[in-house]
Amino acid sequence: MDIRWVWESQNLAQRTLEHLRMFGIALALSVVIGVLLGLYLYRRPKLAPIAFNVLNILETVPTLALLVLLLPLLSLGEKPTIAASVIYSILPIARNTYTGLTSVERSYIEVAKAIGLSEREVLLKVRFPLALPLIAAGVRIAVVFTMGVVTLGGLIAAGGLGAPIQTGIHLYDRDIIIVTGLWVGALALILDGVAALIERYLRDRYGRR
Amino acid sequence: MVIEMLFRRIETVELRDVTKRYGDFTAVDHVNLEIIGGELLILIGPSGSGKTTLLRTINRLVEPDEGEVFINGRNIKEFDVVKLRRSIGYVIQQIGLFPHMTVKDNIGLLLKLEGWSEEEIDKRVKELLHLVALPEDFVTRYPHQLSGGQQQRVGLARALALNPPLLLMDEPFGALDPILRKQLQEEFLRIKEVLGRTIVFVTHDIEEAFKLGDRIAIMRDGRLVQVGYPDELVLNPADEFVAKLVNADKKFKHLDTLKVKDLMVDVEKYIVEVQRKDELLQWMRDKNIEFAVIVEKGALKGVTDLKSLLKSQDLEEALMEPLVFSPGDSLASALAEMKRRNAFLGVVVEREKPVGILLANEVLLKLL
Amino acid sequence: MVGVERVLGAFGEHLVLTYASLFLSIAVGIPLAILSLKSKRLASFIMGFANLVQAIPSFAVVAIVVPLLGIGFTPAVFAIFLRALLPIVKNTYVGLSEVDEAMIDAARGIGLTEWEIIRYVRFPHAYPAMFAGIKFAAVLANSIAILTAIIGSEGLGSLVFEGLASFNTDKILAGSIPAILMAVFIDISFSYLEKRVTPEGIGGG
Repeated sequence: MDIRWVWESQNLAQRTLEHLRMFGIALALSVVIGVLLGLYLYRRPKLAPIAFNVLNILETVPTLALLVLLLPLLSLGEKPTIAASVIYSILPIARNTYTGLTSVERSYIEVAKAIGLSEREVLLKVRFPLALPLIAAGVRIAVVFTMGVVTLGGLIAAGGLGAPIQTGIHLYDRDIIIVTGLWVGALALILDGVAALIERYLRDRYGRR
Repeated sequence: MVIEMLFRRIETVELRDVTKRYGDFTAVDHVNLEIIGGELLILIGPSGSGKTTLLRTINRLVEPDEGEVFINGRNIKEFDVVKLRRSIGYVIQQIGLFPHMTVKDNIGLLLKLEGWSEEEIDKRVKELLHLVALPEDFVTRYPHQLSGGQQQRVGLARALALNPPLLLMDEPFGALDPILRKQLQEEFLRIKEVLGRTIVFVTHDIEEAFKLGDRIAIMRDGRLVQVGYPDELVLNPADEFVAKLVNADKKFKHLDTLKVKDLMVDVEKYIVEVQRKDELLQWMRDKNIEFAVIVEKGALKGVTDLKSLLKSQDLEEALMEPLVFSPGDSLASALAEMKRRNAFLGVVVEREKPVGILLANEVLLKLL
Repeated sequence: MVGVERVLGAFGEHLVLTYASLFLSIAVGIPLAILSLKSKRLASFIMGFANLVQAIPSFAVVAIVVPLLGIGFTPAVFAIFLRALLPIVKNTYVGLSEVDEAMIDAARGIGLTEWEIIRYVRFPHAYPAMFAGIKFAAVLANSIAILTAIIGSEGLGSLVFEGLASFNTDKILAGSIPAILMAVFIDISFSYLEKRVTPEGIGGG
């Protein structure tokens, strides 16, 4: 197995950067939109069931199908890839944010109110921090989803590490497939691991004792 | 349909030198205990005393590190563990009914596994429900539809399904509120007679122990401190700990200073003013009582009970002169007198009017 | 326009692909979960492994199968099987093992064998979790079955890829729409089944 050869001929360094770039943008967008949506639904709990139902259905759509359906709107390349990633990743984050905010133990809220915090302060100083571990868990799921979708982006000319995988399959080249495949897998595991550590840290700091 | 129980009757259950350790902690420490066939033996002690662990060595849910358990002289290690457990009934504090099964399926599970037919199961389940005083139509209910007390009765019924000669009960009434607990204890006393089998019963409540048990085994820190009949424990406690536990000193002091009026029972429901036997009979039947206190113009005339009444021609014949006490009499002497004359009942009188009744067994129960 | 026969044919292939893999992963996954009950070490090994593999992008999993098993229908089934296996094992194991200890104690105490306990106590308790796991696995299988066209599995994915290559929107739609409908159908029908199969008294599981 000639790793060096694969690395160079497939330009894996460049591909990795493209990949991580898309990943970063997509994840950032997902977190922002997801948390905001969770917050909004916390304010308007009546809308929650509908919103989550819709998102749930979106989640079941086959990834490739969603990607290609976005093509007419966003043409090929990075845009549909990032968009699809965000669509998939919103649900876990929004759902966990919503659950995290709403299921803070009554006693904490009562104490906070009793010592004189306003609703807004209660939200910021009590509910949100206590919801962080759950939100982190949701982000971790989003990390895995996003990595998956970005990898698929290679099929629609988005670049990233999906492209060399596709090449490898078309050329039926064992080396390319294994090196790139394992490399993607490793990256995914590392990112997942980092997310897990962050989650653990937050759980220790803010979690239920 | 006859289940091959491992043993038909329990002669003895012997725990010899049973020891169980968990890491550094010794839960049960070289305990030697013999359980006599047909008795209800209480295992009592504070939490952590090892009583539950000891109980569970009998059905091998816990395997001792040292020592052996024998049933009818045979080492229980010889037996297939599942067969052993099917020959022993087991009831626990948290009840442990299977939530996804109806009452009937819960009780009948072992029967089904032993190959009983639907009709046989049906019949037996109804018998058992009757025994634990639950209505027959509970068969289709699910555990979550039952109250705690009802659930525990089903738990008991389940344990008795295969009619095991030995029953192990681990704080069965512990999870219930005090009122419910008392109620179930009363009912259990009734069932105990009907069942007539060997029972090992774990509790931490000394009152429950005295109420239900034939003999009581006291444990502390994994050791067996004393085992014996209730009065032995009260009269001859092995050490400070036992004495405190059974409140021996308190009981004696109590007895000396108590007066009749402290323990007499309300007489209202037994008082009646009638002339004729049939009137009295009817009245007693309506009130569902077994004896009556007859008065004339408020003053005590005599007492009688159903048996005597039925044997006699008329009321005069059936009337008996009761033992009479006054409220300020010493309880100890009153009881002694009743014992001497073999009377089960005495009437407490003030200025010729009955104000209370002294019933021998009620008194004892209240004392304990 | 794409011929109806073509679409139906592709749909049929897709169904076989999806359900064959799903069936396999259930057949292997549930016994694996039961096995994990026997030993804590085995359980944490299997669960740990499961969690790890789930993080790897599906595309990579599908690709890596090729050097191992070549291209075609069977390697595709294997790839989907691998992916679908893990949610089933994990959910089933959690459902089987997280039964109230007191109930297991009571069950043992009255004389049920370990197998009888699994059958009469653990399994009914596990139905909700098991179903959720299978539902998740089915949706996943349905999704990956499109992807595997790239390694020669045929099915709806072929239509999509052909459409992509030739900028043929019709083909793309012909491939994707049925797949999406299938996904929704799976979701709804499994949720319905779950309610039917969950024994009364278990409720939220």
